[in-house]
Amino acid sequence: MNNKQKLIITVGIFLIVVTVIIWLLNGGDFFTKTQILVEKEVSELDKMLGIPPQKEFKDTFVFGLVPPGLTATMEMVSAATISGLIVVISGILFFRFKSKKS
Amino acid sequence: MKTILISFILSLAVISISFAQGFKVEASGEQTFNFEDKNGRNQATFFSTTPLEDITGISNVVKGKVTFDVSDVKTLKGSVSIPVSSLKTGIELRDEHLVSDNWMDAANFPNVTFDIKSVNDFEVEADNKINAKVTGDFTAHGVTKKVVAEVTMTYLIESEQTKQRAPGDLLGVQAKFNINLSEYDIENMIIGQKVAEEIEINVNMVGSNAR
Repeated sequence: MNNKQKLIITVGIFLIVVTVIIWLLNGGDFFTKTQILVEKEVSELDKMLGIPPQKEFKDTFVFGLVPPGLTATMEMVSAATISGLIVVISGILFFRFKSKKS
Repeated sequence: MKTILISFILSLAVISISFAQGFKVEASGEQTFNFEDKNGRNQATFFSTTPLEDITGISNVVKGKVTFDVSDVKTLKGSVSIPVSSLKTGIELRDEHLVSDNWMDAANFPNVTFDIKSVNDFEVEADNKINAKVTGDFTAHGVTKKVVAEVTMTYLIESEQTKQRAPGDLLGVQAKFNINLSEYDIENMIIGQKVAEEIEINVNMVGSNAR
């Protein structure tokens, strides 16, 4: 293994670790989400009527482990997709920089 | 003999009144409440939990009417429905799967409905609040099954405060029941078994008796 290949592996592992840390900091959710469920404030009248807070979806990006669907570009972004791309790119570069001696 | 007969009839009347389960509010007789809300403030939700993911679906398009005698909630009848196409789960692709012919088949079965059949197991929590078990026919995906919903009903007489939401007396309804998807010929394999077999359904709605 030459210096360039060592650098590629080091950078690849570093990027994967960063991706996993970001995923964990985002809550470690399994699926990437572009909307999350939030509760609306309940009015005094609704309280009197025994109605609990209404729920609604709010646009928020949550970085997950795997993509939930393939409809939007942002939904493709996930820890597994990025880590997979890093492995593929690192693999291609690793063989690209293979020294002729070995 | 006549006195005994009158006493007996009166006793029966008193017993039947005391056993009648209804609201003790300043309203009487048969009332019809309409739950259609153009502002989308009524809501039906479904909840599925699996080791992989919890899914909540919501619909703010709840339609329906109920009629009952204020002093006897056992007379409750009516139905509530939601359009399948109004269900949202927070993921566009999943919403498309949900209405597709492989799943809820919204083109052929556009609505999910609950038809009230009987009311049992009363518990009067307050003069204007009653808990009951409501048995009804739940129809989804063209299949109808009997389900029992735990329901809480709250009656509010029209006031300046209630008028902010709608004219007339208001009826707040909270209903909860569970269904098994396989009983409704719904295959959850399409979404990779990310959906549970048992689904919890909640409906929270407010109706008005204004004509």
